[in-house]
Amino acid sequence: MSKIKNKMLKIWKVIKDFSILGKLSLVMLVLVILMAIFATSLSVYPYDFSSGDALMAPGNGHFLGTDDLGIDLWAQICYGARISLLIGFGTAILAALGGGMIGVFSGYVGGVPDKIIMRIIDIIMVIPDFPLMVLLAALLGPSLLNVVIVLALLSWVTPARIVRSQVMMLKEQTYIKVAETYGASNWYLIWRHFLPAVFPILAVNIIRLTGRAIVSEAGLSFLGLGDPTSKSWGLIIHYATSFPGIYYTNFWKWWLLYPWLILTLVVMSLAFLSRELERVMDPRLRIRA
Amino acid sequence: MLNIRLKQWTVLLLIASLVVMLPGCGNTQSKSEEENNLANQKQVEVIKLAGGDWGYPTPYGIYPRGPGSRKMALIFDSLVKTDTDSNLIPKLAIEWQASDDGLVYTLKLRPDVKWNDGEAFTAEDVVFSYNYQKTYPTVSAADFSKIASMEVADPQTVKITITEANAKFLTTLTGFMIIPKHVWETVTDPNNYQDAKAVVGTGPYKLTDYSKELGSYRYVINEYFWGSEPKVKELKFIPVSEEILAFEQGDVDRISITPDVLDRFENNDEYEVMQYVTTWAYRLYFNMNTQPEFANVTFRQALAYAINRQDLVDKIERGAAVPGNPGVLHPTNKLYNKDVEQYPYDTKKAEELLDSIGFKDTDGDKIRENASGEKLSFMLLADEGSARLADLIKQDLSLVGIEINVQTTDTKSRDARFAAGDFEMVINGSGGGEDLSEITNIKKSAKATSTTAQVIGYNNPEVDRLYTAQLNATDPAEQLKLSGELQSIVAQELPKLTLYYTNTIAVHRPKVYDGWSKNTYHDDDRENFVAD
Repeated sequence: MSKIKNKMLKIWKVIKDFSILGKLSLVMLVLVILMAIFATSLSVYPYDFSSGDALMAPGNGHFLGTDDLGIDLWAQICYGARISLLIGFGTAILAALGGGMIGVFSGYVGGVPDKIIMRIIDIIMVIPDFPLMVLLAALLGPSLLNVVIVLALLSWVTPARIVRSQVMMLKEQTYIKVAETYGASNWYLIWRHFLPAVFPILAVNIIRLTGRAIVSEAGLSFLGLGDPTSKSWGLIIHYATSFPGIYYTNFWKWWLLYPWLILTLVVMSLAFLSRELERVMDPRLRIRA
Repeated sequence: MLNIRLKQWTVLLLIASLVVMLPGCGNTQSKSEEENNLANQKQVEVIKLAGGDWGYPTPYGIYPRGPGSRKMALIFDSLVKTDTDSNLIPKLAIEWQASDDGLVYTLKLRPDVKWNDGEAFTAEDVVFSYNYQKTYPTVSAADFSKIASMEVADPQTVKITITEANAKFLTTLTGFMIIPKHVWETVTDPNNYQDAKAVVGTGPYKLTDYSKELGSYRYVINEYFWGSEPKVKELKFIPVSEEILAFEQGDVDRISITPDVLDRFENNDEYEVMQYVTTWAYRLYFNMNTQPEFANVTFRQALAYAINRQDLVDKIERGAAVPGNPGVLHPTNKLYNKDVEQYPYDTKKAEELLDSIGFKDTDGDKIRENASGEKLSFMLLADEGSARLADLIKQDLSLVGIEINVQTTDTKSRDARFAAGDFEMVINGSGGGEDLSEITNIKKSAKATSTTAQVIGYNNPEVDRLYTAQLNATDPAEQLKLSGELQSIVAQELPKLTLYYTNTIAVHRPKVYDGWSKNTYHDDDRENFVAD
């Protein structure tokens, strides 16, 4: 019990160091996470079934209005939070863990495997990722899992590179050398020394990748390559923008604006949060600030 | 920026008021009375319309959709055409006569007609076209099944012998496009023949540019054209991403709009709005070959009760459509039978019908099961334009315990899968289908363009008999009666369910060009540019 309390205190200490912007971002994210968890009970209307006339303006019980099928927009946005966060965090964790592991391996083993991995990373880095994403998404077919896999496949390189350079630096530290001479196994070193040392950087990366993944998923859905049954924010935007002449009607003022707003707020919050974490966790930056 | 805008508007307003004032007051009245906009229209240099790739505009190169056929018909002519009242209009044939026994037709061809490359058009070309198209059917193949032979009587006369007397034989020739012998006689792979010579025709325009990638076409007047001078010298079909924007900037000269933006154009003198009630309809088809449930007529009737067609009209088209008639024909069709079963929206009735054929929900998952315990779950294929329509049908059917999974593809893939029978349910939108031929098992031509009964698995000899009888009926009263009977059966058995007929709202600038036809809502129809 006291262990948990200790952890909480530690986290609180980190948060206390945040700027106002960082704190606001955190609150925003917590709200969206709550929204995602309680999605179906936050709205009286269903997220996947008509509950009013087509394209009703906000008001009349429909807090944010309805879309072209008469489906409540607030309900859709609440439910969309679930999809978008699932994709965001799913991709980020997959990419950060995968990338982190590859980075540790590459940095610690060195030699030919390191060279091969570095060249692969170079190649993936220079390939413009969005066109490739579109291609892969179109090839693999629209499903939530495919979107996560495609996004993860293209985002593991950054954490891998950062972790690798950290590990290469750590490897030369005397305490590691000492541990090695005392017969510590590779696994022991990775678990005991390397992972704890790179974890803060990975955490920052996870948050940054989450934002990127949410935007990418929205982009794919916007292009009609997402999962048509997933009802993510990007999909709402996709349907709104494919409505003929939407900018010449009033409909965009709710149908397009609100999903866009929430998407922007979440992505911005994630960006601020990752910057805050970077500042708090990197002692060099902390001194400068 | 705002300042410049304001200035532009003031200048525009000034010009507009001048133009309105100049011809005097009497003009406004005569405008509403005039029957044909085209006759009073001065010739203009160029008209630009939204493009899109519909194939190379030869009878063989187009995609089997209206825009393709119309772009081809700017270049090619048929022998005869029918007007809106199904009367025959002369095109390349000017006179025709049937023999006493009705088996031989003699067609006199229009004299002094030239192909747009300068060669003379003769009866040889007509007979060649027939023989060639019998070997290689065109994309929208004409019905040659009743023709025994076609021969050249003299250079200006063609003699056609048919297998059985049919007073309406010539109407089957409206889709028979005449192609030049001197070009096509050496071509053995017409579907892939995309040479510049492939677009040699006798029609009012000739093609100068075509880009498949951009979906752009450019036509100019064919100086050898036999008919009256076209009112537009150059027709351009250009790629457009946002139609309203392109129209307001003057990049295109006419667009179709949704009722939501009608206000923007209706109360503005610069624009003229033309509204059309059309027979272009979305229809729902069931694959009875692969899904045995659909072969059950009670099941199809239950679906008709469960789908709220008025709601589709209200939501998807915001009222600019007419709910579908189960008897298939549009209420304005002169053969329309209003007494057919209408299947008003009634979920209770639908559920009763489903219960009555043993489709019940036995495991409590709110989805019914069929006799062998399989869930009633179907894949509904739709193109991007009808994806939202499919979503609403999914909702409607979920209320009566039928699960629908919507699959959307682009229009061309949908068409291909539809024609191949690769679907469980499909929404198809088309302007044809009013003549009911696609639900009969009558073989029309070597190459069917729209889906036929074989693909959906529907077969009713009585429907086939009535269809042929009403088609060949010469007495209008008789035809009305036979067609009425046919519609009753179709409404009863629902081989396809008409969801709704769309209305079209088109807007143009009368000052730029005002020859747009009241008979057709298609911007690219030749009727808009040439008085035939």
